Amino acid sequence: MGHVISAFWKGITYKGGPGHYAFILHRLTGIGVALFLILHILDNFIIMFGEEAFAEVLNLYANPVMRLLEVFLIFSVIYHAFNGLRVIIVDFWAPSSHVQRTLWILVWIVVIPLSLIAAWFTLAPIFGLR
Amino acid sequence: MSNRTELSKFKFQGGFETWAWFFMRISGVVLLLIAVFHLLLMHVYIQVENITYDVVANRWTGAWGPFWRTYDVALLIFALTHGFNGLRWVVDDYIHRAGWNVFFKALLLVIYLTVIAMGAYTVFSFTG
Repeated sequence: MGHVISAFWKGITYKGGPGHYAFILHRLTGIGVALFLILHILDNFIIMFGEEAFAEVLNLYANPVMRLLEVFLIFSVIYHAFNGLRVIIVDFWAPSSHVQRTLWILVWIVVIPLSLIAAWFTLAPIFGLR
Repeated sequence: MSNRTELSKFKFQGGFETWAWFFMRISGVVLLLIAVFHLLLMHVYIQVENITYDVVANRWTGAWGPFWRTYDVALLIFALTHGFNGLRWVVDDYIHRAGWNVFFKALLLVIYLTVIAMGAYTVFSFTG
């Protein structure tokens, strides 16, 4: 266990600048989305047990705490998708560090507005808005 | 020396790990289209509080049923394969002791096969 912690600690304390933060966030969002994916297949499977059983499952997701987690999920998918696209471009094109910096900024220009829009639609009903 | 010159020295030699690396790029682009569309459709357009049994049933059994079942199975296979290969890389990065490394990767494989079977069963055998 100590070995795993030290490998993980080295992974997060390596001072690699923006590319390193991009990697950490890519990994965390990837693990988060993958774990939700397992949950999502289990919840969808309940539809085979009929309308009432499925309604109970959907009711669990209506909880305000779950709605907040939903915002994290949406952000995670959007960040992982667009940062992943940046990784692919860097892998195949190998642009200059100047272009790589621009790409990193572009990721956030796409991710922040999309996440905020999705967060509004997700959280507004909790506060009785919309 | 530019990155391009350095990268050009590498020759594509195949093998499982190279294909896994390549698959992550291909499936990543596919998922950028189909997973992000699924997310925006369900969370922004339909919105989670409006999702009911009928919404899912109508989609799978309506006129566009075969399209949506194909779409959902493609999403299932691409997302799970991409996600579990990612988790496999995470295990390799942090769990170095041979026994535990194999244990966690075997566990991932079992979970992967189980959920893919459950997901495919749901999408294909749902009759409403």
